[in-house]
Parts: sequence; C-alpha cells; structure tokens
Amino acid sequence: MIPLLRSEWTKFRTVRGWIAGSIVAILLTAGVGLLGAAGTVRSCEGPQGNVCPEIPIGPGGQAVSDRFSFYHRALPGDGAITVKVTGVSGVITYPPPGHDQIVPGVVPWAKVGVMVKRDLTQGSAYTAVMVTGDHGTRVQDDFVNDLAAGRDPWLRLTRTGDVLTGATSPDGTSWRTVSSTRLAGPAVIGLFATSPCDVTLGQGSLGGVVGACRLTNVTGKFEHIGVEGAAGPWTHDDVGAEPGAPSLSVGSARDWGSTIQLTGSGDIAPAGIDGGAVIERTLSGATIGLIAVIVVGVLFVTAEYRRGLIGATLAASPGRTGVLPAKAVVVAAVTFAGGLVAAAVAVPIGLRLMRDRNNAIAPVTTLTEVRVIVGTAALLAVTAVLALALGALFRRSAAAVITTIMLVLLPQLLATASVIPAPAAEWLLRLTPAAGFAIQQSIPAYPQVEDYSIPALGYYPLPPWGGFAVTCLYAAAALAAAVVTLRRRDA
Amino acid sequence: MTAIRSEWTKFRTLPGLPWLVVLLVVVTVGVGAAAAALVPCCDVLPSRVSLAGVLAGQVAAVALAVGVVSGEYATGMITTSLLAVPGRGRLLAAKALLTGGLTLAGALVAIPVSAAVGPGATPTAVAGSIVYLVLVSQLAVGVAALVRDPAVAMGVTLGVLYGFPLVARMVQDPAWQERLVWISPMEAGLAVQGGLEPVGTWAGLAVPAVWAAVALAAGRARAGRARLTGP
Repeated sequence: MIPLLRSEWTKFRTVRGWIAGSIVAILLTAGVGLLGAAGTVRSCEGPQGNVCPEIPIGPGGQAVSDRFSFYHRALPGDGAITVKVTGVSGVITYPPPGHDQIVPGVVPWAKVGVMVKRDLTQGSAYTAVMVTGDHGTRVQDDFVNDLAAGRDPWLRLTRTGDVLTGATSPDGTSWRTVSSTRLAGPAVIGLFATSPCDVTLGQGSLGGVVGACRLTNVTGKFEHIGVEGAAGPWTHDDVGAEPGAPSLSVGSARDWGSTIQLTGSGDIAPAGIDGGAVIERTLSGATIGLIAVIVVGVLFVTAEYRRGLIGATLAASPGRTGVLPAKAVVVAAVTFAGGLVAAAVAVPIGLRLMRDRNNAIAPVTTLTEVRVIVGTAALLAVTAVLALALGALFRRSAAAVITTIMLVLLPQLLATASVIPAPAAEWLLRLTPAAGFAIQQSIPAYPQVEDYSIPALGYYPLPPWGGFAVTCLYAAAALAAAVVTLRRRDA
Repeated sequence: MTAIRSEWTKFRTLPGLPWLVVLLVVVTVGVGAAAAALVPCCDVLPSRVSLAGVLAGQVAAVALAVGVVSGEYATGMITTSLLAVPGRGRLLAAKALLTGGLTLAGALVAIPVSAAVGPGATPTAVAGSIVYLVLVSQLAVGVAALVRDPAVAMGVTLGVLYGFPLVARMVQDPAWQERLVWISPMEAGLAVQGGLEPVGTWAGLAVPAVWAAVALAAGRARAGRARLTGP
C-alpha cells in the first residue's frame, strides 16, 4: 500500500493542472467567504448614534432572547411560589392571509407562569414553570432546556438549598415533580408573561425566503397565589424592554390581591436567527471551491484513461484493488489539507471583518468552531473521493463532473434557493450527498422556538455529523462500486 | 454553411450527444412537474414553479456544448476538423450555431410542455426561459473553447451558474445579495420568470448575454492562437 500511495502522490504533485486546481479550490473557498464578510455592513443608526443593541448571552454561552413582563419579589434564601393559571388570552397583529387586522389570539409558544431568576439582567440563569399557548404546561431553564409536563393549570416552584424543584398539579392538592435544577445565592421570584412574535415566511424581493416577525402579546390571569420565603414588596419590570417600542409590546401588571393579571410580549429562549451572524457565513465560498475540488477529483482518474497511463498504473499493481483506494487517500488528504488551510484562514479573518463592520456574531463554543472548520475541510475531502469514484466508474470526465455536481450542489441549490417548499427541501438534504453541508451549521434549531428553521435560512434537517455521514456513505458506496468495476472490466 | 453541415454530421453520428437534447427536455419537464406537484397552489409565482426544471435542465445544455467543442480536443479529431475548415473562428461559429440551434430546439419543446404540465407560465416567462437556455449554451461553448478540457469546462460553467446563487443565499446581506444577483447569469437571467423585483424581467437576460459574449470572444481568441493538442 505504501508504494502505491507514494506513486499516486508523485503523480498528483507533478501534474501542474491538479496542483493548480487544488490551489484554485483553496482560493475560492477562502476568498469568496472573505469578500462576502467584507461586504456585510450592519448599520444601527438611532438616537444614540450608530450603536447596535447588545444581544444577551445565556448561561450556556449562546445568544438568547430574554424579554418578558415580570412581577416579582426578592428571594434571599429558601422559598416557593404556587399559582393557578386561570386564563390565557392575547393579541396577534396582522396575521395571514389578509395581514390587515389585529385579532385576539395566543401564539403556540406564548408563556405565562412562575419563575426564579438570578437577577433582572437579560441572559441570567433561571428556572420557570409555565402554561404555553399550544404546547401544554412546561418546565424550562437556562433558555435551552425544555420539558413537557402535561396540561395542568397549577404550577409550583420550590427552592431548598440551591435546588429548584418544578411541579405541576391538576387540582392544587396532588403534585407531580417535573424537574430539579440548581440556582444558588440571592435571586428573584415571581410571575411572568411573554409572547414571541408570530412568524410568517414569504418570498423576498430577491427571490429568497424572508421571515417576517409580527408582534403579539399575552395576558395571563393568576389566582391562588402563594409565596413563601420572599422578601420586599411586589415590583413590576418589563425585562429587556426597548424604549419607544409599540404600546402593544409594553408589559403591565394589575394586582387585585387574590387575582393578578400580567401582560407581556417577547420571548425567553435561544435567539435563533436573531442571535447575530452565524460563523459559517464566512465559509460560503466552500460551495464554489467544491466545484474545483470535484474537477480535480475526477481528473485525477480520468486523465489516466485519456492519456493511457492507466495501463502502466495497472501493470504496476496487478491486483488492481489497491489503486483506487490509494488515489482516494491521496486526493482526500490533499483536499483536506487545502480545505483546512482555507477554512482556518476564512473563519477567524472573516469574523474579524464582520465584527469591524458592526455585525454581531452568534457566539459558539470553540469546539463548535473547530467542528465547522474541520468539517468543511472534511466535506471537501469526501466530495473529492466521491468525484474520484464517479470518474473511475464513468471514465469520462465530463459525465463524472456533471453527475457529481448534480448530486452534491444541485440539491443544495434547489433546497436553499428555489421555489421547492421547505418539507421537500428537507428531504433533499436528508437523502442526497448535499446532506453533508449540515456540518457547517453552527447554531442548532431548538424545538421550543417558533423560528425559521428551514433550509433556505441555513437550518439543515440532519444533525451535523449525521448529515456528514450521509455524504460519506455515498462516497464509500461509489468507491466500492468503482473498485469492483475496475477489477472486472477491461482497462 | 458547409462548416455547419459537417458539425451536424459529427453531432448526429457521435454516440451520446443527441441524447443530451432528449435529456434537456426530460430533465426540464420532469423537475418542473415534480416542483408543481410539491408546491401548494398559488403560494409562489406559477411561472417559477412550472419552469423550475430549467435549473436542472440547463446542465444538459452545458454538457451538449462541452461535448461539441471539447470532445474534439480530447480525441484529436480537432486536427481533421481544422484541416477541413481552416478558419478557426468559422469553425467555432459553426459549433456555436449548432449548439445554440439544438438547445433552441430542445427548449422549444421543454419549456412550453413544462408550462402546460405545471400551473402555467406567462408568455414572457416562456419566451425568456427559452432565450436563457440558448444563452447558457453559448456561454458553455465559449468556456469550452477557452479551457478545452471537458471536466474543467463543465466545472467552470456550472460554477458560474450555480455558484453565485448559492453564495448569494449564504451572504444574507441585502446589498451584497443584490450585487451578486446582478452578476449572476442564472439569477439575473431567470428574473424573466418573475419574482425578482430589483432586476425586472427582460433586463436581466442581458447578464447571461454579456457572460456568453465575453466567453465566446475569449474562446475565439484562444482558438485563434493556441496550438491544437495538449491542455
């Protein structure tokens, strides 16, 4: 195997066109993304000058939405809050199809309930038990964790030591514990109400999909309110409220002693598409670089057929089985190294360029950033192997290039930039080698967010490594078929 | 005229090439019909849905152009062709005319049939998409004459066609998206199907026309100078 690898590597590095193609792939991958990053300028002209609002960061490090109406007291130590939610109503502005009326209604993820939160700053740790518009009773904490808890109207949140226990009950007597989380130190305890905007997707003027976010609010009615361990008076705060916001989104509380009515608008959840630019935007060049990679991968084998070199190659390796795997290893290694250089340059420099132009970047962990960079390089390498295998199967470079591009790029194009509806687009990105682009998605889609999680806006239906595995399966199957065919057929 | 006739003879006797015209029709109609079946009625422009197959079908037009032009360099047939038609510009023009004519013939079947199968299309969209496919074939002829290697020619042409829209979607910055649309032959060219307000309808077809003209001129320049064989 080692001599085979060495001979294939010698071929690769001595053919000028293949090296040139690999360099073109690197330049396209890094250059296109950097150009896009350099051109992405965000302007936030307002009364305070060009200052963009800060995006709150949750305890887990992700960008979050944290805006709600909060009626609360201080919680210095142990304590508990118990309520019965007796009514949830709300307002939705300008819903489809007419988009011309403000109607009563509650959006599926409107939330009213009880909460213990570290403090009133946006993004601080919390645990909440809530009744939602259409998803039943739930317990959520720290923005990303979400547990379903039936449809009970009684909610209770207890703190003992630093353990918070969320419980629900159908009647206020028999309680079912749903979750337990940790929150130590002084905190605030109280009632909250919030309602995310109603999302509609439409065609943009440039042909892509554009999400529209229409204001809603929710009013929760609380009775049988019992609070233990709290200190200080009841206070109302509109957490995260922006000055000059429309009156429908301004929170309010009315307290009649036995009944409290709370109105609010906003969301307490991962920020989704509003959480800033995603890091993979600096790697948009990979789709174009991929074409150069495909051409090199195909030519690495078809050129041998065209020039008759294949005869010498096969004479040197009469078993034939090792030839294509050796070629695959060489082309994958070269492409991976080149892709790694391109991505490792494009991501940090691209992010720097975007930050300099006022763009907020959705924060991700270092591990995710490494996965996006290495994953992009790996995706290029696996595609090169697929192209090589198809080149060996077809022995005609034009046919192999067309087939690989139609397998990898056309589904991606149809799914993200055409009229194909989201469900069909998601199947395209599950079943074709284009699934591998999922490795670039840095921000996951959360089920508890009414968001724009469709392919056209950068959300893939498969998890990153799952999607990558689909592409690997295609490459492995094609390579296996090519090895078998090479053994059987006349060179 | 004789040059075109000899190109026609080569085309119809070579295995594979005539099938590409059939493929153009089948893929365009097939993908269009699939899109029409998938998209719920009236959500988006009917012209876009009916003619969605052009996105995939244009690959056949590109393959045809590359086959007609690059194929001869690969087999060495180009020497014989140039002995018979010494004017290199004339030979390229004959190849361009043949490819354009065949694509036009395929498109004249594929586009009206797609419109009939799908939820319908405006006459502007039908006529414009036919013109678009012919322009794409001319772009591919120019690129193939310029780079000669069939794989590289396919890669460059499809990269130009598919690359811009994919990057434009990922950039998500409206100003840049609009700039990219205006240099993207596919996006601007298909604005004739409607739904792309900043480009309008007919004006967008100028973009693939300019690309095709530049590619043909560059291909002509290379054909006039470079040696015959080798990459």
